[in-house]
Amino acid sequence: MKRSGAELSPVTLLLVADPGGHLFELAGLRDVWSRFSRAWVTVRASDVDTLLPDERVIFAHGHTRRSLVNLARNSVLAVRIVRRLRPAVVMTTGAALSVPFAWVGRLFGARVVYIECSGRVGISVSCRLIAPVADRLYVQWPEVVSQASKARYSGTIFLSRR
Amino acid sequence: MILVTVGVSNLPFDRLVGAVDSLAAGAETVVAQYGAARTRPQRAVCFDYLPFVELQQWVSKARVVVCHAGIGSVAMCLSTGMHPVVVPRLERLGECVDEHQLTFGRRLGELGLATVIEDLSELAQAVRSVPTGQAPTGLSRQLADELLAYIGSVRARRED
Repeated sequence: MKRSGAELSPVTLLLVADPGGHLFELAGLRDVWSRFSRAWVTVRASDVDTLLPDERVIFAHGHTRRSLVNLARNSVLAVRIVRRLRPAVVMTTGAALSVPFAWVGRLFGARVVYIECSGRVGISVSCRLIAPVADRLYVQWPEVVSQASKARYSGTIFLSRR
Repeated sequence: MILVTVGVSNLPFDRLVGAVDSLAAGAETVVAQYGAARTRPQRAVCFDYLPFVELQQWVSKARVVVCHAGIGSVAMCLSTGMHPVVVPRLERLGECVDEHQLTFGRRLGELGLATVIEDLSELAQAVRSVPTGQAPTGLSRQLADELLAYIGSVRARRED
């Protein structure tokens, strides 16, 4: 965890993603998140410093996939972080790490924006678990819209032609 | 230079790593990141895993990138305007936990964003004839504008 005096100040955006493709996609939304006060939650990996230089990053417990122990630890961490930072919006691209942060965020009054990874032409387990608390749920393939009731398609983070 | 990368998965992708030497027939250097593979190329510069920055540097230097159909590898290529050759990992061969790489890879091929290889005997020819460069891809303006408007409206309501 990067510690600084600003750590306790509230933020508009709490950005949550597992490392790899999920974090790469969320970082690709720079045009969006750079306009708001923000903090990030991810798991320690070699891509984090490169993708998020000079960003305020909080490291959660990995690995997150099918680990009930880390789900419990990250749920406790989510309560601590959300109570301190009071985000207006939790925005996430998955995967398993997002689940406790989306639910805890919603519990404390934040809006939840979930963007399904474009690397899957379908609906992931994380998406199904977050859908009940998602205020906005985007998918990145038009044919996937029909697979989740709240899903909408407005283009992609990396595949859209410029 | 030809770069072959199988990503950070802890599952072996022996089928692609085993085909690396078939790409090293000419004078062009081949660099391979082989991950958890149980086989080692004999005629390539090899790494098990590469830190993100180093992988980016190899991608930017490569004439062509051959990668698995993972969004991290694919998006890294697309964001530098490159047309990757994509080999989907298959669940039935123990290369992946499900078949999402196959559906994703095929859709990339349909969009013309990548050359998709399911039969490795076609790999060497695909690497020789890969298109150089393509129209840049990136963030959809509509998606960005909707997210900006939504987050802005939530913030405004909270400040009221």
